[in-house]
Amino acid sequence: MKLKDKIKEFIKQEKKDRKLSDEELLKRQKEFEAEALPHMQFLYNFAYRMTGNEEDAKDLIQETYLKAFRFWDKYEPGTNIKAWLFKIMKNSYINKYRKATKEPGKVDYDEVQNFYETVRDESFETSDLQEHIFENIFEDEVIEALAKLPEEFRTVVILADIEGQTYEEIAEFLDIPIGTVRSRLHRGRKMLRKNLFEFAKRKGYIKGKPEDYDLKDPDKD
Amino acid sequence: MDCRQTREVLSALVDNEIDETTKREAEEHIWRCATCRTEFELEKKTKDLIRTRVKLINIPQELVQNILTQIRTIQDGYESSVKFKTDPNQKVKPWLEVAFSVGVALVVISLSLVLITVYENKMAQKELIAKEVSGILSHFDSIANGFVKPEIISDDPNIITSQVYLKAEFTPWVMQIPNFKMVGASFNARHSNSEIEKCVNLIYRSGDKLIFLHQIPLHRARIHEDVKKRISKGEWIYDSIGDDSFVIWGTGELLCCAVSNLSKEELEQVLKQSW
Ligand SMILES: [Zn+2]
Ligand SMILES: [Zn+2]
Repeated sequence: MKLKDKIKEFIKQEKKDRKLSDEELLKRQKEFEAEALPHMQFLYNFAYRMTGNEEDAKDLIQETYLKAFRFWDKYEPGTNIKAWLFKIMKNSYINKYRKATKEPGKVDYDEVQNFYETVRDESFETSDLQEHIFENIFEDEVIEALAKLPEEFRTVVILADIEGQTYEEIAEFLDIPIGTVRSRLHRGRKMLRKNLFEFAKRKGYIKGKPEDYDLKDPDKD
Repeated sequence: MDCRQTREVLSALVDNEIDETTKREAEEHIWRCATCRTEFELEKKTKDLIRTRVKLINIPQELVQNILTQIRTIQDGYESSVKFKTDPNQKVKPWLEVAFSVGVALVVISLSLVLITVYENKMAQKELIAKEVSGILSHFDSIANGFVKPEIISDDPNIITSQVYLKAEFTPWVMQIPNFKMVGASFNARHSNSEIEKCVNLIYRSGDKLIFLHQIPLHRARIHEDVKKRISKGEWIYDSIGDDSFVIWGTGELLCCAVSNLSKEELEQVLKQSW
């Protein structure tokens, strides 16, 4: 939305708000607090894992809740409030971070494509090898490996594996079909494993090149 | 089911998000195929690894409190704007009325000059700078939506100037920008090490073009070393984010950052005239 339209929209909203009496305002506030606050833990954890630090996560949550309160009239009672809040946060996140680092929509595809290439070229996993990986990995390394995932994969892994959301919930949060949730999750976990392999190699838990652990992998796409 | 089909439902099998028929078919294949079996085991282990290693974090106490306070402030804002309307003796209009009556969207800059992540060092410098400035964009949004209110707002640049001198803990540089008029100012504590000493933001306007001039004493600015080095050598770092442009530079004592909806080239030209 253009800034001018935003302002127009806002003035409209502002005028509407002014017609509300003090009582109505208070009721609106209480309603918002009762409905929206219980989801803060979930949103905060997602924000924290996406931004990687407390300050940015707090900013994002504040912005989300203030926006949600501002647009509370637009929320339809009885619909999924968790998904509604999540979408507000996702938009704020995109405005804040994606804009800063790349042109929207342009670089994403290549990045993901590159990732696939490496994942499929290096079939490094044997059961012997991964024992080494899984035993010696700590929280920080999992977090670092996670942070390296392209955004759309990181998002589903955080939601499913850290926050324990169901596929149906994730599909609704992200406006994608359940089949897409499924495949992104599979690929996301696989990429993460590859990152962990790199750490393990760097730290000397395992030796040699990925090719030494070669294994025919039909998982081509 | 073949290997390919099995891989497609592997995550669903691990998460038990699968219907009985598909589950049976997939398990049947996994029983026969060692490759897919390994893949399945790995995926399960990966999931468990993430779940057990990465803990859920509790919300910082002050966060909830801050949000509640801010919601109440917004609420009070509505109430007082209603009261302003009905009180003819009231001289000061609510800030939004003033702002929008002159057709200005005021934006308070809160520069995210502080960025502490593990990846900081690896980031390309261009990216790093862009990320440091990115906080402004969301604040642009916040202001347009009416969440944040600048402390000073006036039609008279002299009033703004005197108020700024009165309130700032350091001597800010009130730059004259040809064709632009100063319409407001704000203060924030975010980029300083101290809660008391705040950054100053001067807000300039010309038609629908806006320039925000953010200032902080150089010695107090928490900014990436590489960026600091460059500006202390006298460099003006210009760049753009989306439709907005920005420039960071130093005056010897002050760190300045101007952000605008002008293009990078226009901003450069305007600032060169005023420098
Ligand atoms: Zn197979
Ligand atoms: Zn600052």
